[in-house]
Amino acid sequence: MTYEPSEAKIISVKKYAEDVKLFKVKTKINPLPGQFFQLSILGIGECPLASCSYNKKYADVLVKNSGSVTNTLFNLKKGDGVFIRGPYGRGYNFKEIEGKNLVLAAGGTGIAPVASLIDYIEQNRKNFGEIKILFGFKDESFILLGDRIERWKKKFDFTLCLDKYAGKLKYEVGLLPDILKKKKINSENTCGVLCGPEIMMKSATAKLNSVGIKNDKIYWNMERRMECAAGSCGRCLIQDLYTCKDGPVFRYDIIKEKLENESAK
Amino acid sequence: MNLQNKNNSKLKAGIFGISGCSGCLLSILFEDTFKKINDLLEIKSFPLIKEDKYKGDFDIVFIEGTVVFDDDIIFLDEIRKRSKIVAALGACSCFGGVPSIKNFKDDEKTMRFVYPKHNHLKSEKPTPINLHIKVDYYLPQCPPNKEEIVSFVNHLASGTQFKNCQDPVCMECRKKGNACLLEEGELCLGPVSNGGCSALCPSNGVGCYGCRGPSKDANMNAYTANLKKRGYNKKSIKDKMETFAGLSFEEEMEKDSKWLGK
Amino acid sequence: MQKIIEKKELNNFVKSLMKNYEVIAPVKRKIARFEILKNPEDMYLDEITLVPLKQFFLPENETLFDFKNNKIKKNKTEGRKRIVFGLRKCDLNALLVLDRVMSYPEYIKKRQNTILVGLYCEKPDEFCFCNSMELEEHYDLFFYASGDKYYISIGSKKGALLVRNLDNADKEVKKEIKNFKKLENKNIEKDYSNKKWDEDVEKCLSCSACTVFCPTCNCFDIQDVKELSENSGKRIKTQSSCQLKSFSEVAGGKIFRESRASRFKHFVYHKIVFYNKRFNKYMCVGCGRCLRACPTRIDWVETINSIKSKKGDKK
Repeated sequence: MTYEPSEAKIISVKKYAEDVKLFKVKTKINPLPGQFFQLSILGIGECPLASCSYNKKYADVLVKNSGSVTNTLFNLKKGDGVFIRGPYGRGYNFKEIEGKNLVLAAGGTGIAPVASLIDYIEQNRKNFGEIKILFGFKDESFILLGDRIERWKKKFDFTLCLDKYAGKLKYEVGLLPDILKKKKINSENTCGVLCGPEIMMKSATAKLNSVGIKNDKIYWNMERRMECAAGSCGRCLIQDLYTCKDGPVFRYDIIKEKLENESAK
Repeated sequence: MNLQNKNNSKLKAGIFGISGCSGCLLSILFEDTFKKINDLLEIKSFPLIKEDKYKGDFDIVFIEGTVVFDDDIIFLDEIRKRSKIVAALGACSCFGGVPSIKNFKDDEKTMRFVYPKHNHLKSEKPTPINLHIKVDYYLPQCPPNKEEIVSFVNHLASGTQFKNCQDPVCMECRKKGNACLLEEGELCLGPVSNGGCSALCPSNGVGCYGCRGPSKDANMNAYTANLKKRGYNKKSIKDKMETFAGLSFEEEMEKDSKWLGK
Repeated sequence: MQKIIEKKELNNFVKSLMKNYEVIAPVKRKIARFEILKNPEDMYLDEITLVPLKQFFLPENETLFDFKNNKIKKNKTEGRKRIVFGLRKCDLNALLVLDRVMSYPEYIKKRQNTILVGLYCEKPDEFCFCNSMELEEHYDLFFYASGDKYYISIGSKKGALLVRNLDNADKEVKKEIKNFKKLENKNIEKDYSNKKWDEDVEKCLSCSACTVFCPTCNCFDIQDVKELSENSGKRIKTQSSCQLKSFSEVAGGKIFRESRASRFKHFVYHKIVFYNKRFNKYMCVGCGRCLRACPTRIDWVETINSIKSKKGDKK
């Protein structure tokens, strides 16, 4: 495969938080929920990102200003060109999760792939059982995709968690895993879908385990440094698994031990 | 730090030296380097080549040299106030450089050796500039790497993150297919020193002096134990480390080396 | 059927190849390495090269494409016909290992344009353990020395064409390589947390010499090099190493394989276990270059042997 990207135009830009913007990019690459693509700016570099919408016309790229590429991207406007190649990797395994009840928990920009999955669920509602969604953000000013969250609140059992919040009781306050602990979860025929910092996914997994959802029913979306996206460069290896090819969505029972090995001192 | 200005004017730059040999300033003057950075910066002050009449503020200031005299500190304080960004240029500015060798010698003996007849002179302790002012970026090496200077200015002008090479000199050296100098009987600091110099010295048969400072990931304990096995004594290793970045190597040693540390 | 050539005719044979091909062969410049041959007399076939062949297929820095004013300019891959002479069995197998993971057009083109000529390894040294790694026969031509002649096995049509003017051999000469070193057991997946590894990790300088000299290490980085003043630049693929902290760092500064232990073991386990899980072949070809190049003499092969012998579950 080639590492040459093709040009794509930014259709619109929306600012959600101080360091997070949503770029709508016209592209035909059509990633499935959980898949990713390499977005690049010539002269700066590439950055693996996931779309937070599921549709065939454009990609919705939720960008947190945290590196060279995203920093430059942040200054781009409607009509500017970026470069894109993909889609890559395995997204959510519909064979495994369709027909199930789902608990979706994600934090910060980690909501992107999960939001794309929610899009898919909305479009194929009858294929899924009960849906419970928890999104966590630092505080009110960091709430992302607020407009879509309003819509989802009407359709699903949706909880918005804020780490810090002093105002009226509009949100649940506390860390996402702690709020998840308070929720009643029906473990029967239920899968957990998690995306966010590993520490958050870990404690959310512990909660899901405690109500009887086993690791082989829990999906983690992994962040690693993916450069080639073709299983060549070796950078995203989690032991023998390429995040770019075998992931970025992994069933937790498959990667649990590998992650523990890698992070051992 | 994002310095991109909206009206697309060039960044205002100053290039200064404190106590030092001006070699780093000279390396900016090399034709290709100067042309490239001059395209991107508006050089307001560069006392080495032009009388400095500019009194305004800077976006970026490069500073060469070691802090030796009180005047150096006064100058640094003033420049820091006038500039958004300060970059330490060269091993002296970043680590204390060759002048800081003095910190590891007996003060009295050194004084008498260098100035046998001038008993009234006061001995000063040479230090890197970051002990006196906040430094935003480091461009180490003696003399600094011209390509790195250009790349730094490129990053600055386009508002992208600049990062020094964090990999050891060995990585670059081995990539070039060099024979390992340690195996050839040369004392080389490559395994514990920061790269970014394309292994310039080892590629020319000279053991690395660590002029880009100790690597954050250095395994000092294993390295010094290995040197001991190869027959080097503490003094020869310390002498080598003290050449350009002695103060920084000393810190690393205290953390990690059972054999060489205090 | 094998072909034969007198040993003293070898240089003339290579010289004749140089007319139509770029010939790459081992030479000795302080350390043995592969170079584009200017003179057949420079060839040095006595020992395994310390520097592997890989830079001729995976250059340290390789341009993927150029760009100017935010437009990509397609990279023309030149197709020079090349012959690599004097490859040992480990070197030849290393290319098979790379073939399974490298999929970008520049690499494939280089592989297609290169004819591989192997050479039987007369004197494996104390670091070689290729017999432990289940290597395959893979070559266009393969030279076996016997007496004052080379007996040449033919592995492909491309190879056959090169030796069509040589005499047919009267007998068949084939030899197995004799190793002094052996990797006793490759079934080490469950030994990841064995304390024996700590001794190696303590000695490791993370200098990345093992990965640079490994003929199958292919990890890389994709970077943009920019000439801001000219609004142009190129995207390059540049050699990297899993032994470096920066290797697994993501935006925001998190390093996923931060400890020296996890980096060191990643190298060994990738070679023996991880790659094998995917392709059912070992990534390590037993050339011993990582052991030869290690400045602190880490011998992970012995470490595995001692882990396994202690448990008494030798195969």
